[in-house]
Amino acid sequence: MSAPVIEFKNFSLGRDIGTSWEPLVTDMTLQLQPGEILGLVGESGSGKSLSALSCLGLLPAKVRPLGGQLNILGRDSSTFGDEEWREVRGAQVSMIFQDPMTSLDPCFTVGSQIVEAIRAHEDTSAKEAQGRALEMLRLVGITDPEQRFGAFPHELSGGLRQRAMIAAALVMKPTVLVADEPTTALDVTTQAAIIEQVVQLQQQLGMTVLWISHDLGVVANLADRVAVMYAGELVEVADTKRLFADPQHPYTMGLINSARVRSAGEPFDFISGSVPEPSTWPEGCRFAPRCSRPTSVCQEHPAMTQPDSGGSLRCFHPGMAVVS
Amino acid sequence: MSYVIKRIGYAILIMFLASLVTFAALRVAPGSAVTSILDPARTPPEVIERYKEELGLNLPIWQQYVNYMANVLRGNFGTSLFDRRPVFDLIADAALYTVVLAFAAFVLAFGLGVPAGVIAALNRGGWFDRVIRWVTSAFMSIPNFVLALLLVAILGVKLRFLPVSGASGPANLILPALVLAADPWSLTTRVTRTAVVEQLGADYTRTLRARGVSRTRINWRHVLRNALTPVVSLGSVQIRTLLGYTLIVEVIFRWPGMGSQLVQAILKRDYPVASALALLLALVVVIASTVGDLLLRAVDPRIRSNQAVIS
Repeated sequence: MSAPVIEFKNFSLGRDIGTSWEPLVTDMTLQLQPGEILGLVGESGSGKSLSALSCLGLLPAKVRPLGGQLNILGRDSSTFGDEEWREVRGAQVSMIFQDPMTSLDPCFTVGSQIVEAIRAHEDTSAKEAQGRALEMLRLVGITDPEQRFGAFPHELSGGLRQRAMIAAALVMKPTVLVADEPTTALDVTTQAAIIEQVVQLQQQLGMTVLWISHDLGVVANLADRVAVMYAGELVEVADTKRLFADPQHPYTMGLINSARVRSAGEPFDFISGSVPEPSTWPEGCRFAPRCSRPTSVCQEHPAMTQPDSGGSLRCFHPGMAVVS
Repeated sequence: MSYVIKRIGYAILIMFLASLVTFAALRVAPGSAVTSILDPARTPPEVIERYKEELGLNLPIWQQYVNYMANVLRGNFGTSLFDRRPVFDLIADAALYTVVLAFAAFVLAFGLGVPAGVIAALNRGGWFDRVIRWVTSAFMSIPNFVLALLLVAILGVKLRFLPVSGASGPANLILPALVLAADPWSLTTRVTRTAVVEQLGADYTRTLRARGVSRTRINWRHVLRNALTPVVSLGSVQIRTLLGYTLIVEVIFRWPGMGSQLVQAILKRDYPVASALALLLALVVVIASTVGDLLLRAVDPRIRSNQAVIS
């Protein structure tokens, strides 16, 4: 196996709350292998978006890495200054976001924003950059790139806007694309088209993709591997097929059950309660209060283990919860 | 392009309505022009009649209006009822003084307000931001005639630094312009600061950073451009307010503008002078709001797509 493009090693993040640091992500160990699509799944508040933003050095104010290491293309990111981060962004690691309306600058044409992404990294002529932007628009499935190039974001549909966003993110042919729920704001048919487009581009450009979603269904169709996060930590990482066929962590099972298509009249199957705030994380297993079968050993905090079945898991009782 | 034509057509329509209103208001006002010049008790009726004839006051009202407009469009605003000089000559100088003063204040307010707002927003929470917040609150809560008296007392009388009255030289412009600019400057600074702070937190700034665009470029190209919309709309509204205040401040500083003339003309029921001045003020306001709307359209592509006429 070649070297991972992004590697979290016991990585943790925290927020400055004045007197101390409140942990938001803890003990994260995850490798993103070249060419794969890794789905990062969890409910809101699980820390998945913050983990993703770390890969571009775009953490919100007051949020900082607290420990561990995050390597980007083999380099320790803690050594990066502002200018080094800027050179990484867009050129090596790029990102697309949830809402394509607010994520594009409304005052500039779509084309000029793609050109700007090129010229942030290269001293190309305006004309050459424009040619590349047009080519990229065509590549993301926009049929009339010359017309769309001069369009303002509000003149395009949600799907076209998201395609333009993808074009701007990929125009520098980055090694890694971080996709933070890019289809959540779109309607279902557009969603499928965008997902298909990203998979196609991933193969054409040989990219690695970190796809963040709260929607297991989307991830099941797309990802090679899935990492499940709960309350600031990874709880299970496995190949997509294995994870869906034989989930080990009770939280993963709960997620799969609540996403399952049910027949009429069958009751909804959901995990009761909600993700705890970082300040109320239990000392022991963070999922125990919502777990269907916690035992006394769950008062302890489980470590990440590598079971024989492959992947990794953070649970004292793998596979134990009963699927209803 | 068709929007520009539509917007200008709209401005002309408003001017037409304004001319109807100024014409009507002055005709409807109690006391006719004739009775204010001549004492009806002591003037023979035929003299009154001759005056009425001469002023066109016997014609049907619509014809009076048509005559009035035909003259106005030729730059002929009639003659003053009192000193018998052409109104145009009478108000040209005063109008120029007023426009110079209002324009100086406007340039001060925006030229200093926009950069101050941007700098405060980029360093929010810092010392500059705090000083700005303090100074703008002070300026906005002090009525401008009080500020005028303060400045006159300190800069003019105590320090003998600046002339406080009249219009004998360019230095005379400084104090009234400062007094006039204080309030719009504060408002401009605050609106700019708020708009920039809002745009700094907008999602697109994060997207641009994710593509490797530098913070400086994002701030000065994208954030500033997006923050401009509220600032431009404020500008066109402020021209109206500023004109109103100019007329007051002129009196305090004995600045020979239209302010005192307008009051005089209304008090003496000098119709031609008063209506010419009112029409002139309306024209300035309509031009300001037309230019403001066209600028807004140039700045914000979302407005450009929406073809509705915005007044």
